[in-house]
Amino acid sequence: MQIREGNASWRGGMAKNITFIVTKDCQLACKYCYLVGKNMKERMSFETAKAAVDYILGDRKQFAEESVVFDFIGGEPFLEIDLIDRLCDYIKQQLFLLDHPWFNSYRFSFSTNGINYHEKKVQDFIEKNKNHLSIGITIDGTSAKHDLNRVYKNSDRGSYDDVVRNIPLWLSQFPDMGTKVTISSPDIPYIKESVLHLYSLGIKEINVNCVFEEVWQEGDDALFEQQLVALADEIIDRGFYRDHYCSFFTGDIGRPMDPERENQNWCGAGMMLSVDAAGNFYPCTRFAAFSLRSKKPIIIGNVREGIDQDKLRPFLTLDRLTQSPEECRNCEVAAGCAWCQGENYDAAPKPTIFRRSTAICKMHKARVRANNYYWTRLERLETKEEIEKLKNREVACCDILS
Amino acid sequence: MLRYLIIMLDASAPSFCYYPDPSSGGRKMPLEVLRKAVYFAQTHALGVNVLCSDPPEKEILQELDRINHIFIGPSSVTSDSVWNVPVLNIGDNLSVFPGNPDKNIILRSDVASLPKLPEAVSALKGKFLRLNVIITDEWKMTPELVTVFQRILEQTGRLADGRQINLITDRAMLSKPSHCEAGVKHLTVAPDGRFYICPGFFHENPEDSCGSLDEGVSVPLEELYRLECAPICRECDAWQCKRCVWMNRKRTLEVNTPSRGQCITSHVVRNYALKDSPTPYLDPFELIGR
Ligand code: SF4
Ligand code: SF4
Ligand code: SF4
Repeated sequence: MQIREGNASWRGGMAKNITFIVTKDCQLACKYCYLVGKNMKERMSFETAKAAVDYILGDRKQFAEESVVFDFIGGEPFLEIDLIDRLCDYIKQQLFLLDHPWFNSYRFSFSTNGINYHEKKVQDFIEKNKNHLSIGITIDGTSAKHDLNRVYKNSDRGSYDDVVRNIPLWLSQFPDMGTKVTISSPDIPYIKESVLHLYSLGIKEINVNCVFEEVWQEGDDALFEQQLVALADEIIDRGFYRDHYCSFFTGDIGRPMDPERENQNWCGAGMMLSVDAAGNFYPCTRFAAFSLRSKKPIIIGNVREGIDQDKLRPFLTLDRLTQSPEECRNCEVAAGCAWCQGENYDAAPKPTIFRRSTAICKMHKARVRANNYYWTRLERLETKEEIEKLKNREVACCDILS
Repeated sequence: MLRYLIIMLDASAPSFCYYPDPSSGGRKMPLEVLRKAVYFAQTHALGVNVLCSDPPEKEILQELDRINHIFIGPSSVTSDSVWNVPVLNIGDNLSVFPGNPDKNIILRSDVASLPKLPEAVSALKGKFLRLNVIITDEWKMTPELVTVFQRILEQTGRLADGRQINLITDRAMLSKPSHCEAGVKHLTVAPDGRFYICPGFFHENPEDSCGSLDEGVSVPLEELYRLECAPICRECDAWQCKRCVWMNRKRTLEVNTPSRGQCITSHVVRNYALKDSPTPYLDPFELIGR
């Protein structure tokens, strides 16, 4: 039976991920956005970005991965296309001059709201770097769903129309790229129609996740399950499962986890490196001040003095069981239940990354039930197809015999 | 389970451990707060260590007399009883320290002053039963300094003369970890009547308390102070290491994660004591770090 799986991450997810927070500005003010301190002032200068590149490329022992992904985020990264273009040229030039192993194994990656995707400067950049690019446009679904959250700054005008007009161009350039959808409590009633809508726009891979923050209301889990079951029915009945992917329905979730073999941390904070406009390094963007509601930023160094390895040690030694409360350690459906280290830190009763937030618990359990439903139905379908095939063979055999 | 309580009679009491000496002129513990602290210790079956900078007044001593206790601090407050523990610094004129061959002594040194350690041990000869050396900034220890530190341990070991010096003799005598266990085995009560993980936490941020004598103890995320929740330390057999959670938090921002320097220091000490089974690493992070 043909079932489409999600795209594997580039280099199997083993590449070093370096994120430049090029601006804290954005055209939108999405209602679920975790970036609590967005502003127009903090834009990265070329000098700061260059100093970060010089530090990173100059220390091959510390940055020993075979490949690298340079991620550009904001705010909205394409607001800083001039800086990005100049910086990417500098990176390529340095990789060449230093005979750096990453010269043959680098990518520039963007997650954009898509609003200025069509603009000449952005398109010129894409043309220049197209063999080393991955660009994801985030769109939340139908116009009703998208515009519920993704509104322009200082007005309540939704951004759907301005994004959707750029989807065909984007898909013509990156036909295999997926989109990311973020679900918060008010979005639940729109899930089914949103995913189907994105399929109808030609997007074949949809990665969805529930926000990790404590936003969930009484009854959200039941509604979530209903929506996912209805979506599962559509995906199966209309045959989307063959050539479309939706990350809600993934094989190996919803079972207990082995305490020894499956004790790794979920999140990649600390394996990645983020740098902001001030030249400060973070274990992930979620630890920068503008991402945090209630805690101080965790700065692990800066472009002048480098990384303080002591500050990285907690991130590199985190494991699942140490940070999990009793309920999670003994959970029957733990597999696939995710967490975000930054949200854990932000939500913890003390400033620590060693306390897992379980705000997502009931939503994960609802997802597991719907996922079971999806796979049970697909299995039945597969069995029926087998039966049909056998029947046809019998008929064919009978035909031959007769 | 709590075993003892550290009572800070005044906020200027000099450091007996890794945290730096506080500035002078700090608040003193009122008698009624001390009464509650003593009562707390009595009702929780805790031993009491008292910190102060000057000899306490009569009524304070009378109150303390209701429970077994020792003083830890400058010679002026620790000379009278053999149980009391004087705190010396490596820069002090140690030859004038009177000492007592039955006493425990704490000697504080920073990494830069460690070459003076053998000389200090000589100066203290016959003046202690056990010497606890605290390397206050041991997080500064680097692989480049290891050879020098090893040489200092060799020289100091030759001068130990049958007496206990923690850096020299502890590890070989231990059959299980002997960490500080602040937050688990002991808490500190400050002059304001609030509990702290240790005096270092109080000095760093007086708002960072964990309950009070009036409201009781409440250590948020207490499990993080336990060895089971320390991914690097629970794999480690440098059992003599203090595993200082104050230094951990200062250097790595997490109480359960040690700095590299702390681990290197403790492994040089461990390997000196267990010469026949040295570890192939000086930092157990190398065993488990991603
Ligand atoms: S958060 Fe809930 S569903 Fe997830 S592992 Fe913990 S108990 Fe299980
Ligand atoms: S945590 Fe323990 S070892 Fe560290 S300074 Fe405090 S009392 Fe000393
Ligand atoms: S040597 Fe390092 S890992 Fe071992 S107990 Fe001390 S601080 Fe922990």
